[in-house]
Amino acid sequence: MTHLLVLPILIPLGTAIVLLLLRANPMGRRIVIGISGLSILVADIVLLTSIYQKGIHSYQVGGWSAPFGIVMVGDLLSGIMLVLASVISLSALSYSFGYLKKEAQQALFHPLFFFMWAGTNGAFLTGDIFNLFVMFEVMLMSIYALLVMLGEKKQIEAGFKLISMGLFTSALFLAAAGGIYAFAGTLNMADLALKIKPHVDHPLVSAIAMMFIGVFGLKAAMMPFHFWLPDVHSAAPTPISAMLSGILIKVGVYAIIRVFCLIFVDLQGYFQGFILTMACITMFVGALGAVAQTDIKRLLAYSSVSQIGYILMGVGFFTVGGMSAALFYIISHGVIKSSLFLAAGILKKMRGSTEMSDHGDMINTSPAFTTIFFIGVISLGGIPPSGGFFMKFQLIKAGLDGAFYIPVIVAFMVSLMTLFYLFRSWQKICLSGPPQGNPLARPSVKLLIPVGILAMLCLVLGLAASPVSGLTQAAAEQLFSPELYIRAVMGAM
Amino acid sequence: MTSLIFKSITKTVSPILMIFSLYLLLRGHQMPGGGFIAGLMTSAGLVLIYLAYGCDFFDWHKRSRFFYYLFSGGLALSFLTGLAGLFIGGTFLKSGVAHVEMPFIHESWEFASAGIFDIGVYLVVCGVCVSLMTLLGEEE
Repeated sequence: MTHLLVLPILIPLGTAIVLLLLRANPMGRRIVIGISGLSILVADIVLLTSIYQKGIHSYQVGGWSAPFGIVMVGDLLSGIMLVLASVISLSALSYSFGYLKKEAQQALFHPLFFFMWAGTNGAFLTGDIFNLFVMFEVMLMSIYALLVMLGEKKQIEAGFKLISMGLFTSALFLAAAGGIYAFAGTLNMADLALKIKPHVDHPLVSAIAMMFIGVFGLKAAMMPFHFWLPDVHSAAPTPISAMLSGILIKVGVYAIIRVFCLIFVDLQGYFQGFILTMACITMFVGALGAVAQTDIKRLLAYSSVSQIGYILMGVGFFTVGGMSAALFYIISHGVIKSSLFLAAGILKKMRGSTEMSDHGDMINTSPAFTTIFFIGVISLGGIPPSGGFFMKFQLIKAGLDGAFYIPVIVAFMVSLMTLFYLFRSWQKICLSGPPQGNPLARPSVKLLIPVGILAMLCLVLGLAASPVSGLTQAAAEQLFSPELYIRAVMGAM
Repeated sequence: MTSLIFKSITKTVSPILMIFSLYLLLRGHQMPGGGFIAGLMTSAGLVLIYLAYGCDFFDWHKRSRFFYYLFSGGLALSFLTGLAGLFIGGTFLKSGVAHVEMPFIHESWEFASAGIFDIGVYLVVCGVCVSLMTLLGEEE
């Protein structure tokens, strides 16, 4: 049995503990963070290639066999999400050294960050509904603390919103997990898939499926539940905003994909209309909110809501092409949005504000920043040769292939709005005349490097779109043959 | 909160709480009990002492660093138990069992390595509870 599968959880967990113990030693902490951050990335990439070559991996924690013990399962979807998480986390981590000035802040920040990372990776790897709940909690607990850590008034307010939302979601999740356990007598996802299949017409099953949509929709900020996101994502310390928008809202989408491509496979058609409608409304409402914002971080947060709508639309097609496009969208949106958030953090560092009217003339102050921001803008706007073009192109192509014309029309309209609000913000921050007040200092290179790397990745995703979309295509095909997953977990049956 | 009644009750109740919590900790592997509940019970005893006798009795605030390392160490202990399972037993969190002949009472006591994991959890819960209490009780 290979232990590769648990490494993405064990390394961050161990690192967090070591960092707690190294409170008094800043230099030692940096070395530990560097080494283990890179080793998580390497472990994730090795895991992804191993899954790609050998098929789905499963691992029984504690040696208890499948339907009874705790299983970890890695398929291509988990592998892709893990690699994405580690790329974004590494950039956010290296950015945090320049962003958080005080040693005491870093002493608290980094252990919590690694706990959050462990929770995220755990959510991607677990093969069990209850452990998904536990991993969500590990992730959320760390986020609560990270969000209010700097103690600004806005952050405390956002923290209150996030905690109320989180507690409500957890209660609902627990109720849904309890319901499905009462119905099927198991919590293992592969086992559930087998047990639910004959009873798919039972009204309780669709009720539970609806509850899961609610729970994961809340996490992913799907339309009626998007209210918490703009406050939380804009108030959080910038490296955390990048993590939240880049990867953590995708955990919700991941869970929707996992649940509907494994447990409730036969309910896909039943919920398709609902998911697509919600996706279209989410897209539109998010973009509408973004157009009205004057604060760059809030604008980006609303834009995240809108982009989640695009991803859910790809999921809602329930075709291989749609799923593949949604996965490509998750990857490129994660990279783009976190680079944009980190760029907004540079603005905050320079003038202590993220209001767009407080900034201007960045093209003369810092051409590097202007370029990076521009790459982010064209990527999210979907202009070639960036990764953003291919993410939208694939999604719309999948929609046309499946004859979903109305969602495609909405997606086109929202794309125009996206272009409008992004270019307006870029024009205001970079091209308009110099702002009132003190002359601007140059942004520090320490902060520009991680953002620049992410911006480069946006372009790489565009230039090397075909290997990436080959990978997402394989992942989508794997998702639509759930018997592979079940066989990997339950053994030959 | 420093009435004579409260102080006298604390004097009897908190030792009982702590001894009973150790009992829960040690039987937790097979029977109801375990690290989490035992840790909560011990910290309930500590909280009683804190409320009845105040900061001066134990110098809580000067020891906050000790409690910090208590919970970090507990976390490390639990994690290392899991890792030991990986290296010795074959999978993460694999538990081993040994039967130990107890001296004097001549009974076999089943010792599971999950017990060490529980002790780690116990330390985490105690450390976190007391740290929280001292943080909340701190003057600005």
